[in-house]
Amino acid sequence: MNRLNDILIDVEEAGYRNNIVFKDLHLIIPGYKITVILGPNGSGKTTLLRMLFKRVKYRGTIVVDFKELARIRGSSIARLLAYMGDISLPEMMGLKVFEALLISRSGLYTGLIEKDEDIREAEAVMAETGIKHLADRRLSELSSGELRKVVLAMALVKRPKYLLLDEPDSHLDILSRIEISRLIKRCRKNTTIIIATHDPIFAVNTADYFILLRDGKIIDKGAIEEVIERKSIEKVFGAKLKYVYDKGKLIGIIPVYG
Amino acid sequence: MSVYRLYRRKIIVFTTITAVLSLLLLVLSYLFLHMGYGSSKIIYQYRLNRIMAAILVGLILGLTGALLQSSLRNPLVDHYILGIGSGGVFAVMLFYLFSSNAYFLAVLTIIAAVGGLAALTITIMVAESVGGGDIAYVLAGIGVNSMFSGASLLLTYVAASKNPYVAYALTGSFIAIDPGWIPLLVVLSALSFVLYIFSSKPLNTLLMGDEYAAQQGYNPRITRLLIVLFSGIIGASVVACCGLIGFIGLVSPHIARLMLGTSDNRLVPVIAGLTGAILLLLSDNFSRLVLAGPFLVSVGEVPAGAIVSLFGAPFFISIMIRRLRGHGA
Repeated sequence: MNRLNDILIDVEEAGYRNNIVFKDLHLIIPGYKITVILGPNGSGKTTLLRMLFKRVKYRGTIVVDFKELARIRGSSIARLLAYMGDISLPEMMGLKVFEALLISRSGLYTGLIEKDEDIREAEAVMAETGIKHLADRRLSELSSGELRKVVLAMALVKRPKYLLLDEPDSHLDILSRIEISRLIKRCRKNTTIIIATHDPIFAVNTADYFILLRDGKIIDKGAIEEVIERKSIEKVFGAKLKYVYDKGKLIGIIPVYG
Repeated sequence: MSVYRLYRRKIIVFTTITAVLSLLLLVLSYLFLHMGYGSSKIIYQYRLNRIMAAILVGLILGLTGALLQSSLRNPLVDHYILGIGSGGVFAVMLFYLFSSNAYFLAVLTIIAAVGGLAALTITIMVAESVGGGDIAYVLAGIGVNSMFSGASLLLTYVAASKNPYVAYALTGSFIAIDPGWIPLLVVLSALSFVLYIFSSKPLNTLLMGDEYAAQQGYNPRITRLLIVLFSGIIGASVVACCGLIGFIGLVSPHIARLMLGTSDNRLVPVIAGLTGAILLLLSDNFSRLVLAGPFLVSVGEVPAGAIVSLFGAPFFISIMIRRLRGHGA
Protein backbone atom coordinates (compact mmCIF):
# COMPACT_ATOMS: atom_id res chain seq x y z
CA MET A 1 0.00 0.00 0.00
CA ASN A 2 1.33 3.38 -0.94
CA ARG A 3 1.43 5.51 2.17
CA LEU A 4 3.84 8.15 0.90
CA ASN A 5 1.40 11.03 1.02
CA ASP A 6 0.31 10.63 4.63
CA ILE A 7 -0.30 13.79 6.60
CA LEU A 8 0.87 13.66 10.18
CA ILE A 9 -0.64 15.97 12.75
CA ASP A 10 0.86 16.04 16.21
CA VAL A 11 -0.26 19.23 17.81
CA GLU A 12 -0.49 20.33 21.43
CA GLU A 13 -2.61 23.37 20.78
CA ALA A 14 -4.10 24.98 17.71
CA GLY A 15 -6.56 27.75 17.10
CA TYR A 16 -7.02 31.46 16.64
CA ARG A 17 -5.78 34.37 18.67
CA ASN A 18 -8.16 34.03 21.60
CA ASN A 19 -9.92 30.82 20.73
CA ILE A 20 -8.09 27.52 21.05
CA VAL A 21 -9.94 24.98 18.92
CA PHE A 22 -7.78 21.87 19.30
CA LYS A 23 -5.90 20.53 22.28
CA ASP A 24 -3.66 17.45 21.97
CA LEU A 25 -4.61 16.54 18.46
CA HIS A 26 -2.82 13.47 17.14
CA LEU A 27 -3.80 12.23 13.76
CA ILE A 28 -2.56 10.49 10.64
CA ILE A 29 -4.48 11.20 7.46
CA PRO A 30 -3.75 8.38 5.01
CA GLY A 31 -2.32 9.23 1.61
CA TYR A 32 -4.04 8.47 -1.71
CA LYS A 33 -7.36 7.93 0.03
CA ILE A 34 -10.50 9.91 0.52
CA THR A 35 -10.78 10.97 4.14
CA VAL A 36 -13.90 12.55 5.47
CA ILE A 37 -13.94 14.77 8.50
CA LEU A 38 -17.46 14.30 9.80
CA GLY A 39 -18.98 16.38 12.54
CA PRO A 40 -21.71 18.84 13.43
CA ASN A 41 -21.48 22.56 12.74
CA GLY A 42 -18.82 24.25 14.82
CA SER A 43 -16.89 21.07 15.56
CA GLY A 44 -13.65 22.36 14.04
CA LYS A 45 -13.81 20.71 10.61
CA THR A 46 -12.91 23.82 8.67
CA THR A 47 -10.23 24.77 11.20
CA LEU A 48 -8.63 21.36 10.72
CA LEU A 49 -8.52 21.91 6.96
CA ARG A 50 -7.24 25.47 7.28
CA MET A 51 -4.50 24.23 9.59
CA LEU A 52 -3.01 22.33 6.67
CA PHE A 53 -2.19 25.50 4.76
CA LYS A 54 -0.91 27.59 7.63
CA ARG A 55 -4.09 29.56 8.26
CA VAL A 56 -4.28 28.46 11.90
CA LYS A 57 -1.60 28.99 14.53
CA TYR A 58 -0.42 25.76 16.17
CA ARG A 59 2.13 24.44 18.65
CA GLY A 60 3.55 21.09 17.63
CA THR A 61 4.30 19.34 14.39
CA ILE A 62 2.39 18.96 11.17
CA VAL A 63 4.08 16.99 8.43
CA VAL A 64 2.81 17.44 4.90
CA ASP A 65 4.66 15.92 1.97
CA PHE A 66 7.56 14.79 4.21
CA LYS A 67 8.17 18.34 5.37
CA GLU A 68 7.33 20.28 8.47
CA LEU A 69 4.51 22.60 7.44
CA ALA A 70 6.07 25.67 9.04
CA ARG A 71 9.07 25.29 6.76
CA ILE A 72 7.05 25.11 3.54
CA ARG A 73 6.91 28.45 1.77
CA GLY A 74 3.72 30.01 0.48
CA SER A 75 4.62 29.47 -3.16
CA SER A 76 5.24 25.76 -2.52
CA ILE A 77 1.93 25.47 -0.71
CA ALA A 78 0.22 26.81 -3.82
CA ARG A 79 1.71 23.95 -5.84
CA LEU A 80 1.20 21.31 -3.17
CA LEU A 81 -2.44 21.62 -2.23
CA ALA A 82 -5.76 23.08 -3.18
CA TYR A 83 -8.40 24.20 -0.69
CA MET A 84 -11.88 25.00 -1.88
CA GLY A 85 -14.71 26.29 0.21
CA ASP A 86 -17.35 28.72 -0.96
CA ILE A 87 -16.35 31.07 -3.75
CA SER A 88 -18.17 34.35 -4.15
CA LEU A 89 -17.01 37.31 -6.15
CA PRO A 90 -17.80 40.91 -5.27
CA GLU A 91 -20.59 42.53 -7.22
CA MET A 92 -19.52 44.24 -10.46
CA MET A 93 -16.29 42.24 -10.45
CA GLY A 94 -17.28 39.10 -12.27
CA LEU A 95 -15.08 36.48 -13.87
CA LYS A 96 -15.76 33.84 -16.46
CA VAL A 97 -15.34 30.17 -15.62
CA PHE A 98 -12.35 29.76 -17.89
CA GLU A 99 -10.66 32.80 -16.35
CA ALA A 100 -11.26 31.45 -12.86
CA LEU A 101 -9.55 28.20 -13.86
CA LEU A 102 -6.57 30.06 -15.27
CA ILE A 103 -6.30 32.17 -12.11
CA SER A 104 -6.22 28.92 -10.14
CA ARG A 105 -3.19 27.95 -12.19
CA SER A 106 -1.50 31.27 -11.44
CA GLY A 107 0.53 29.87 -8.56
CA LEU A 108 2.13 27.38 -10.93
CA TYR A 109 3.71 29.65 -13.49
CA THR A 110 6.07 32.56 -13.04
CA GLY A 111 5.48 35.86 -14.75
CA LEU A 112 2.21 37.54 -15.52
CA ILE A 113 0.98 35.43 -18.41
CA GLU A 114 -0.10 31.81 -18.42
CA LYS A 115 1.74 29.26 -20.56
CA ASP A 116 0.25 26.94 -23.18
CA GLU A 117 0.40 24.16 -20.64
CA ASP A 118 -1.88 26.06 -18.28
CA ILE A 119 -4.50 26.54 -20.97
CA ARG A 120 -4.26 22.87 -21.92
CA GLU A 121 -4.68 21.77 -18.30
CA ALA A 122 -7.66 24.07 -17.83
CA GLU A 123 -9.35 22.62 -20.90
CA ALA A 124 -8.55 19.06 -19.80
CA VAL A 125 -10.04 19.63 -16.36
CA MET A 126 -13.16 21.16 -17.88
CA ALA A 127 -13.61 18.01 -19.95
CA GLU A 128 -12.99 15.78 -16.92
CA THR A 129 -15.55 17.55 -14.78
CA GLY A 130 -18.06 18.01 -17.60
CA ILE A 131 -18.19 21.80 -17.49
CA LYS A 132 -16.91 22.52 -20.98
CA HIS A 133 -20.18 24.16 -21.95
CA LEU A 134 -19.82 26.60 -19.04
CA ALA A 135 -16.40 27.92 -20.09
CA ASP A 136 -17.58 31.37 -21.09
CA ARG A 137 -20.31 31.78 -18.52
CA ARG A 138 -19.83 34.12 -15.60
CA LEU A 139 -19.44 32.60 -12.14
CA SER A 140 -22.34 34.71 -10.88
CA GLU A 141 -24.71 33.26 -13.50
CA LEU A 142 -24.18 29.64 -12.50
CA SER A 143 -26.58 27.51 -10.48
CA SER A 144 -25.35 26.07 -7.16
CA GLY A 145 -24.75 22.69 -8.74
CA GLU A 146 -22.78 24.14 -11.66
CA LEU A 147 -20.82 26.39 -9.33
CA ARG A 148 -19.84 23.45 -7.13
CA LYS A 149 -18.50 21.61 -10.15
CA VAL A 150 -16.59 24.69 -11.26
CA VAL A 151 -15.13 25.12 -7.78
CA LEU A 152 -14.03 21.48 -7.83
CA ALA A 153 -12.47 22.06 -11.24
CA MET A 154 -10.68 25.13 -9.87
CA ALA A 155 -9.08 22.86 -7.28
CA LEU A 156 -8.28 20.05 -9.72
CA VAL A 157 -6.71 22.34 -12.29
CA LYS A 158 -3.77 22.84 -9.95
CA ARG A 159 -3.18 19.05 -10.06
CA PRO A 160 -2.55 19.14 -6.33
CA LYS A 161 -1.06 16.38 -4.23
CA TYR A 162 -3.56 17.22 -1.51
CA LEU A 163 -7.12 18.22 -2.19
CA LEU A 164 -8.96 19.85 0.71
CA LEU A 165 -12.68 20.29 0.13
CA ASP A 166 -14.81 22.20 2.60
CA GLU A 167 -18.43 21.05 2.31
CA PRO A 168 -18.38 20.28 -1.41
CA ASP A 169 -21.95 19.00 -1.03
CA SER A 170 -23.61 22.01 0.56
CA HIS A 171 -26.74 23.49 -1.05
CA LEU A 172 -26.96 20.73 -3.64
CA ASP A 173 -29.82 18.59 -4.85
CA ILE A 174 -29.61 14.81 -4.84
CA LEU A 175 -28.33 14.30 -8.38
CA SER A 176 -25.68 17.04 -8.06
CA ARG A 177 -24.46 15.44 -4.83
CA ILE A 178 -24.07 12.10 -6.57
CA GLU A 179 -22.21 13.73 -9.46
CA ILE A 180 -19.84 15.60 -7.14
CA SER A 181 -19.20 12.44 -5.17
CA ARG A 182 -18.44 10.56 -8.39
CA LEU A 183 -16.04 13.29 -9.57
CA ILE A 184 -14.20 13.26 -6.25
CA LYS A 185 -13.87 9.49 -6.27
CA ARG A 186 -12.36 9.60 -9.72
CA CYS A 187 -9.42 11.72 -8.44
CA ARG A 188 -8.43 9.29 -5.70
CA LYS A 189 -5.70 7.58 -7.73
CA ASN A 190 -3.09 10.32 -7.56
CA THR A 191 -4.42 12.68 -4.92
CA THR A 192 -4.90 12.62 -1.18
CA ILE A 193 -8.37 14.00 -0.62
CA ILE A 194 -9.75 15.38 2.62
CA ILE A 195 -13.38 16.42 2.77
CA ALA A 196 -15.16 18.25 5.57
CA THR A 197 -18.87 17.62 5.69
CA HIS A 198 -21.76 17.21 8.10
CA ASP A 199 -23.76 14.94 5.83
CA PRO A 200 -23.17 11.28 6.78
CA ILE A 201 -24.88 9.99 3.63
CA PHE A 202 -22.52 11.89 1.36
CA ALA A 203 -19.61 10.84 3.55
CA VAL A 204 -20.45 7.15 3.55
CA ASN A 205 -20.82 7.06 -0.21
CA THR A 206 -17.64 8.98 -0.93
CA ALA A 207 -14.95 8.26 1.60
CA ASP A 208 -12.57 5.45 2.55
CA TYR A 209 -11.54 6.75 5.93
CA PHE A 210 -13.48 8.61 8.59
CA ILE A 211 -12.47 11.11 11.22
CA LEU A 212 -15.31 11.99 13.55
CA LEU A 213 -14.96 15.37 15.19
CA ARG A 214 -16.94 17.08 17.90
CA ASP A 215 -16.01 20.21 19.87
CA GLY A 216 -12.41 19.99 18.68
CA LYS A 217 -12.00 16.42 19.90
CA ILE A 218 -11.64 13.32 17.79
CA ILE A 219 -14.42 10.97 18.79
CA ASP A 220 -13.35 8.15 16.49
CA LYS A 221 -11.47 7.35 13.31
CA GLY A 222 -11.24 4.42 10.96
CA ALA A 223 -13.05 2.62 8.18
CA ILE A 224 -16.82 2.92 8.00
CA GLU A 225 -17.62 -0.53 9.44
CA GLU A 226 -15.48 0.07 12.51
CA VAL A 227 -16.96 3.49 13.09
CA ILE A 228 -20.52 2.21 12.85
CA GLU A 229 -19.81 -0.73 15.12
CA ARG A 230 -18.62 1.59 17.84
CA LYS A 231 -21.78 3.73 17.44
CA SER A 232 -19.55 6.78 16.90
CA ILE A 233 -21.64 8.58 14.31
CA GLU A 234 -24.51 8.67 16.82
CA LYS A 235 -22.15 10.03 19.43
CA VAL A 236 -20.83 12.78 17.16
CA PHE A 237 -24.20 14.12 16.10
CA GLY A 238 -26.01 13.31 19.33
CA ALA A 239 -28.92 11.82 17.40
CA LYS A 240 -30.49 8.43 16.82
CA LEU A 241 -29.63 6.96 13.43
CA LYS A 242 -30.93 4.11 11.28
CA TYR A 243 -28.63 2.46 8.74
CA VAL A 244 -29.95 1.35 5.38
CA TYR A 245 -28.28 -1.60 3.68
CA ASP A 246 -28.75 -2.80 0.13
CA LYS A 247 -27.33 -6.25 -0.64
CA GLY A 248 -25.02 -6.02 2.35
CA LYS A 249 -23.68 -2.60 1.36
CA LEU A 250 -24.36 0.47 3.45
CA ILE A 251 -26.14 3.01 1.25
CA GLY A 252 -27.73 5.41 3.64
CA ILE A 253 -28.08 6.81 7.12
CA ILE A 254 -31.38 8.21 8.29
CA PRO A 255 -31.80 10.32 11.42
CA VAL A 256 -34.71 9.29 13.61
CA TYR A 257 -36.88 12.29 14.55
CA GLY A 258 -38.88 12.55 17.77
CA MET B 1 -15.00 32.66 -27.75
CA SER B 2 -12.10 30.57 -28.93
CA VAL B 3 -10.65 33.68 -30.51
CA TYR B 4 -10.86 35.38 -27.18
CA ARG B 5 -9.05 32.48 -25.54
CA LEU B 6 -6.37 32.37 -28.19
CA TYR B 7 -5.66 36.05 -28.16
CA ARG B 8 -6.11 36.65 -24.48
CA ARG B 9 -2.41 36.54 -23.72
CA LYS B 10 -1.64 38.70 -26.69
CA ILE B 11 -4.21 41.19 -25.44
CA ILE B 12 -2.46 41.45 -22.10
CA VAL B 13 0.93 41.97 -23.70
CA PHE B 14 -0.49 44.40 -26.24
CA THR B 15 -2.31 46.56 -23.69
CA THR B 16 0.64 46.81 -21.37
CA ILE B 17 3.05 47.66 -24.16
CA THR B 18 0.61 50.19 -25.63
CA ALA B 19 0.15 51.86 -22.29
CA VAL B 20 3.87 52.06 -21.59
CA LEU B 21 4.67 53.23 -25.12
CA SER B 22 2.02 55.93 -25.11
CA LEU B 23 3.34 57.16 -21.79
CA LEU B 24 6.87 57.24 -23.17
CA LEU B 25 5.64 59.04 -26.27
CA LEU B 26 3.85 61.51 -24.06
CA VAL B 27 6.96 62.26 -22.05
CA LEU B 28 9.14 62.49 -25.14
CA SER B 29 6.81 64.85 -26.96
CA TYR B 30 6.57 66.91 -23.82
CA LEU B 31 10.34 67.20 -23.63
CA PHE B 32 10.48 67.95 -27.36
CA LEU B 33 7.97 70.76 -27.12
CA HIS B 34 9.46 71.99 -23.91
CA MET B 35 12.68 72.72 -25.67
CA GLY B 36 10.68 75.08 -27.77
CA TYR B 37 10.67 73.35 -31.14
CA GLY B 38 8.10 74.83 -33.44
CA SER B 39 5.52 75.95 -30.97
CA SER B 40 4.32 79.15 -29.50
CA LYS B 41 5.29 80.15 -26.03
CA ILE B 42 1.82 79.92 -24.57
CA ILE B 43 1.54 76.30 -25.64
CA TYR B 44 4.73 74.95 -24.20
CA GLN B 45 4.82 77.10 -21.12
CA TYR B 46 1.24 76.84 -20.04
CA ARG B 47 -1.13 74.56 -21.96
CA LEU B 48 1.35 71.74 -22.38
CA ASN B 49 2.02 71.44 -18.66
CA ARG B 50 -1.65 71.42 -17.98
CA ILE B 51 -2.40 68.72 -20.51
CA MET B 52 0.45 66.58 -19.26
CA ALA B 53 -0.68 66.97 -15.66
CA ALA B 54 -4.30 66.09 -16.49
CA ILE B 55 -3.25 62.97 -18.40
CA LEU B 56 -0.84 61.74 -15.75
CA VAL B 57 -3.15 62.47 -12.82
CA GLY B 58 -6.03 60.71 -14.59
CA LEU B 59 -3.80 57.74 -15.26
CA ILE B 60 -2.65 57.49 -11.66
CA LEU B 61 -6.14 57.90 -10.22
CA GLY B 62 -7.67 55.31 -12.54
CA LEU B 63 -4.91 52.79 -11.93
CA THR B 64 -4.78 53.14 -8.16
CA GLY B 65 -8.59 53.18 -8.06
CA ALA B 66 -8.64 49.79 -9.76
CA LEU B 67 -6.04 48.43 -7.33
CA LEU B 68 -7.94 49.78 -4.31
CA GLN B 69 -11.23 48.29 -5.49
CA SER B 70 -9.75 44.87 -6.19
CA SER B 71 -7.70 44.62 -3.03
CA LEU B 72 -10.59 45.64 -0.77
CA ARG B 73 -13.00 43.51 -2.88
CA ASN B 74 -15.22 46.53 -2.91
CA PRO B 75 -16.61 48.12 -6.09
CA LEU B 76 -17.53 51.32 -4.25
CA VAL B 77 -14.17 52.69 -3.14
CA ASP B 78 -11.53 55.00 -4.55
CA HIS B 79 -9.07 57.49 -3.07
CA TYR B 80 -11.87 60.00 -2.63
CA ILE B 81 -14.43 57.74 -0.91
CA LEU B 82 -11.84 56.27 1.46
CA GLY B 83 -10.91 59.76 2.64
CA ILE B 84 -7.32 59.43 1.41
CA GLY B 85 -7.62 62.45 -0.86
CA SER B 86 -9.09 64.81 1.70
CA GLY B 87 -6.52 63.63 4.23
CA GLY B 88 -3.87 64.72 1.75
CA VAL B 89 -5.56 68.07 1.13
CA PHE B 90 -5.80 68.68 4.86
CA ALA B 91 -2.11 67.97 5.37
CA VAL B 92 -1.18 70.33 2.55
CA MET B 93 -3.36 73.08 4.04
CA LEU B 94 -1.75 72.58 7.42
CA PHE B 95 1.63 72.88 5.80
CA TYR B 96 0.70 76.17 4.14
CA LEU B 97 -0.51 77.37 7.51
CA PHE B 98 2.77 76.82 9.29
CA SER B 99 5.31 77.38 6.57
CA SER B 100 6.56 80.25 4.55
CA ASN B 101 5.93 80.57 0.85
CA ALA B 102 9.13 78.86 -0.15
CA TYR B 103 8.69 75.13 -0.57
CA PHE B 104 9.69 72.23 -2.75
CA LEU B 105 7.03 70.41 -4.69
CA ALA B 106 8.50 67.06 -3.63
CA VAL B 107 8.10 68.07 0.02
CA LEU B 108 4.50 68.99 -0.67
CA THR B 109 3.93 65.60 -2.29
CA ILE B 110 5.35 63.76 0.69
CA ILE B 111 3.21 65.81 3.06
CA ALA B 112 0.10 64.96 1.06
CA ALA B 113 1.11 61.30 1.13
CA VAL B 114 1.50 61.40 4.91
CA GLY B 115 -1.90 63.07 5.30
CA GLY B 116 -3.49 60.49 3.02
CA LEU B 117 -1.84 57.71 4.97
CA ALA B 118 -3.20 59.07 8.24
CA ALA B 119 -6.73 59.26 6.80
CA LEU B 120 -6.41 55.78 5.33
CA THR B 121 -5.28 54.39 8.69
CA ILE B 122 -8.31 55.89 10.41
CA THR B 123 -10.66 54.55 7.73
CA ILE B 124 -9.21 51.05 7.89
CA MET B 125 -9.22 50.99 11.69
CA VAL B 126 -12.81 52.17 11.93
CA ALA B 127 -14.00 49.85 9.16
CA GLU B 128 -12.20 46.80 10.53
CA SER B 129 -13.47 47.43 14.04
CA VAL B 130 -17.03 47.08 12.77
CA GLY B 131 -16.45 43.97 10.74
CA GLY B 132 -14.66 45.21 7.63
CA GLY B 133 -17.50 44.66 5.15
CA ASP B 134 -18.16 46.65 1.96
CA ILE B 135 -20.57 49.03 3.62
CA ALA B 136 -18.30 49.47 6.65
CA TYR B 137 -15.48 50.71 4.43
CA VAL B 138 -17.69 53.09 2.48
CA LEU B 139 -19.32 54.53 5.60
CA ALA B 140 -16.04 54.86 7.51
CA GLY B 141 -14.49 56.44 4.42
CA ILE B 142 -17.31 58.92 3.98
CA GLY B 143 -16.99 59.85 7.65
CA VAL B 144 -13.24 60.39 7.47
CA ASN B 145 -13.62 62.16 4.13
CA SER B 146 -16.09 64.72 5.43
CA MET B 147 -14.07 65.21 8.59
CA PHE B 148 -10.93 66.14 6.67
CA SER B 149 -12.83 68.06 3.97
CA GLY B 150 -14.53 70.14 6.65
CA ALA B 151 -11.25 70.83 8.41
CA SER B 152 -9.62 71.72 5.09
CA LEU B 153 -12.44 74.09 4.25
CA LEU B 154 -11.82 75.92 7.52
CA LEU B 155 -8.10 76.11 6.84
CA THR B 156 -8.69 77.32 3.28
CA TYR B 157 -9.38 80.86 4.44
CA VAL B 158 -6.08 81.09 6.26
CA ALA B 159 -4.03 79.19 3.72
CA ALA B 160 -5.42 81.20 0.82
CA SER B 161 -3.60 84.24 2.13
CA LYS B 162 -0.34 82.47 1.32
CA ASN B 163 -1.34 80.74 -1.86
CA PRO B 164 -4.55 81.99 -3.48
CA TYR B 165 -4.91 78.87 -5.62
CA VAL B 166 -5.23 76.70 -2.55
CA ALA B 167 -8.98 77.22 -2.59
CA TYR B 168 -9.13 75.00 -5.68
CA ALA B 169 -7.68 72.04 -3.77
CA LEU B 170 -11.08 70.91 -2.54
CA THR B 171 -12.66 70.70 -5.97
CA GLY B 172 -9.59 69.78 -7.94
CA SER B 173 -8.25 71.96 -10.72
CA PHE B 174 -5.30 72.26 -13.06
CA ILE B 175 -5.39 76.04 -13.16
CA ALA B 176 -2.30 76.49 -11.05
CA ILE B 177 -0.08 73.77 -12.46
CA ASP B 178 3.59 74.42 -11.93
CA PRO B 179 5.90 72.88 -14.58
CA GLY B 180 7.82 71.31 -11.70
CA TRP B 181 4.96 68.88 -11.13
CA ILE B 182 5.46 67.04 -14.40
CA PRO B 183 8.58 65.06 -13.49
CA LEU B 184 7.05 64.22 -10.11
CA LEU B 185 3.88 62.96 -11.78
CA VAL B 186 5.91 60.91 -14.24
CA VAL B 187 7.70 59.27 -11.32
CA LEU B 188 4.42 58.62 -9.53
CA SER B 189 2.81 57.04 -12.59
CA ALA B 190 5.89 54.88 -13.10
CA LEU B 191 5.59 53.79 -9.47
CA SER B 192 1.93 52.94 -9.92
CA PHE B 193 2.84 50.80 -12.95
CA VAL B 194 5.42 48.95 -10.88
CA LEU B 195 2.81 48.41 -8.18
CA TYR B 196 0.38 47.11 -10.78
CA ILE B 197 2.89 44.59 -12.14
CA PHE B 198 3.61 43.19 -8.69
CA SER B 199 0.04 43.12 -7.47
CA SER B 200 -1.98 41.90 -10.44
CA LYS B 201 -1.49 38.19 -9.78
CA PRO B 202 -2.17 38.27 -6.02
CA LEU B 203 -5.15 40.57 -6.64
CA ASN B 204 -6.70 38.03 -8.98
CA THR B 205 -6.61 35.44 -6.21
CA LEU B 206 -7.84 37.91 -3.56
CA LEU B 207 -10.87 38.54 -5.76
CA MET B 208 -12.08 35.03 -4.94
CA GLY B 209 -11.74 35.42 -1.20
CA ASP B 210 -9.14 35.25 1.55
CA GLU B 211 -9.03 31.47 1.90
CA TYR B 212 -8.61 31.08 -1.83
CA ALA B 213 -5.71 33.54 -1.85
CA ALA B 214 -4.10 31.75 1.09
CA GLN B 215 -4.13 28.36 -0.63
CA GLN B 216 -2.60 30.09 -3.65
CA GLY B 217 0.32 31.02 -1.43
CA TYR B 218 -0.45 34.64 -0.61
CA ASN B 219 -1.03 35.89 2.89
CA PRO B 220 -4.31 37.73 2.26
CA ARG B 221 -4.05 40.25 5.09
CA ILE B 222 -0.48 41.28 4.37
CA THR B 223 -1.00 41.35 0.60
CA ARG B 224 -4.12 43.48 0.93
CA LEU B 225 -2.50 45.84 3.43
CA LEU B 226 0.56 46.40 1.24
CA ILE B 227 -1.44 47.05 -1.93
CA VAL B 228 -3.93 49.37 -0.20
CA LEU B 229 -1.10 51.21 1.50
CA PHE B 230 0.95 51.79 -1.63
CA SER B 231 -1.95 52.67 -3.91
CA GLY B 232 -3.31 54.91 -1.14
CA ILE B 233 0.01 56.73 -0.83
CA ILE B 234 0.29 57.24 -4.59
CA GLY B 235 -3.33 58.40 -4.81
CA ALA B 236 -2.81 60.87 -1.98
CA SER B 237 0.42 62.30 -3.39
CA VAL B 238 -1.42 63.40 -6.51
CA VAL B 239 -3.67 65.56 -4.38
CA ALA B 240 -0.76 67.90 -3.64
CA CYS B 241 -0.62 68.75 -7.34
CA CYS B 242 -4.19 69.24 -8.45
CA GLY B 243 -6.41 68.89 -5.41
CA LEU B 244 -9.23 66.52 -4.74
CA ILE B 245 -10.70 64.93 -7.86
CA GLY B 246 -13.38 62.38 -7.16
CA PHE B 247 -15.29 60.05 -9.43
CA ILE B 248 -12.37 59.27 -11.80
CA GLY B 249 -10.86 56.67 -9.50
CA LEU B 250 -14.27 55.19 -8.81
CA VAL B 251 -15.63 55.02 -12.31
CA SER B 252 -12.59 54.33 -14.50
CA PRO B 253 -12.08 50.76 -13.20
CA HIS B 254 -15.74 50.01 -13.78
CA ILE B 255 -15.63 51.38 -17.32
CA ALA B 256 -12.51 49.28 -17.89
CA ARG B 257 -14.16 46.12 -16.53
CA LEU B 258 -17.30 46.66 -18.57
CA MET B 259 -15.38 47.37 -21.76
CA LEU B 260 -13.09 44.39 -21.29
CA GLY B 261 -15.88 42.09 -20.12
CA THR B 262 -13.62 40.74 -17.39
CA SER B 263 -12.25 41.68 -13.98
CA ASP B 264 -8.83 40.16 -14.64
CA ASN B 265 -6.46 42.40 -12.72
CA ARG B 266 -3.75 41.94 -15.28
CA LEU B 267 -5.82 44.08 -17.65
CA VAL B 268 -8.20 46.22 -15.64
CA PRO B 269 -5.73 48.60 -13.93
CA VAL B 270 -4.00 49.53 -17.21
CA ILE B 271 -7.24 50.19 -19.06
CA ALA B 272 -8.63 51.99 -16.02
CA GLY B 273 -5.54 54.21 -16.05
CA LEU B 274 -6.00 55.04 -19.74
CA THR B 275 -9.73 55.67 -19.20
CA GLY B 276 -8.95 57.96 -16.29
CA ALA B 277 -6.41 59.87 -18.37
CA ILE B 278 -8.88 60.42 -21.23
CA LEU B 279 -11.73 61.41 -18.91
CA LEU B 280 -9.67 63.89 -16.96
CA LEU B 281 -8.14 65.42 -20.08
CA LEU B 282 -11.60 65.89 -21.59
CA SER B 283 -12.84 67.40 -18.35
CA ASP B 284 -9.97 69.81 -18.08
CA ASN B 285 -10.32 70.93 -21.69
CA PHE B 286 -14.00 71.46 -21.18
CA SER B 287 -13.46 73.29 -17.91
CA ARG B 288 -11.32 75.82 -19.77
CA LEU B 289 -13.92 76.30 -22.50
CA VAL B 290 -17.26 76.19 -20.78
CA LEU B 291 -17.29 79.59 -19.15
CA ALA B 292 -14.51 81.26 -21.02
CA GLY B 293 -15.66 80.19 -24.44
CA PRO B 294 -18.34 81.31 -26.84
CA PHE B 295 -21.26 80.12 -24.73
CA LEU B 296 -21.11 82.70 -22.01
CA VAL B 297 -19.46 85.87 -21.07
CA SER B 298 -15.94 85.18 -19.96
CA VAL B 299 -15.99 84.76 -16.19
CA GLY B 300 -13.00 82.50 -15.69
CA GLU B 301 -13.05 78.75 -15.53
CA VAL B 302 -14.73 75.90 -13.70
CA PRO B 303 -12.51 73.52 -11.74
CA ALA B 304 -11.94 70.27 -13.61
CA GLY B 305 -13.00 68.24 -10.60
CA ALA B 306 -16.49 69.68 -10.93
CA ILE B 307 -16.67 68.79 -14.62
CA VAL B 308 -15.40 65.21 -14.42
CA SER B 309 -18.80 63.74 -13.66
CA LEU B 310 -20.26 65.56 -16.63
CA PHE B 311 -18.29 63.30 -18.97
CA GLY B 312 -17.82 60.26 -16.83
CA ALA B 313 -21.33 59.69 -15.57
CA PRO B 314 -23.27 59.42 -18.86
CA PHE B 315 -20.56 57.24 -20.38
CA PHE B 316 -20.54 55.01 -17.33
CA ILE B 317 -24.31 54.69 -17.17
CA SER B 318 -24.68 53.94 -20.87
CA ILE B 319 -21.95 51.30 -20.87
CA MET B 320 -23.34 49.76 -17.70
CA ILE B 321 -26.85 49.46 -19.09
CA ARG B 322 -25.58 48.00 -22.36
CA ARG B 323 -23.48 45.37 -20.61
CA LEU B 324 -25.61 44.44 -17.67
CA ARG B 325 -28.95 44.21 -19.42
CA GLY B 326 -29.67 40.49 -19.22
CA HIS B 327 -26.11 39.63 -18.30
CA GLY B 328 -25.62 40.18 -14.60
CA ALA B 329 -22.37 41.62 -13.36
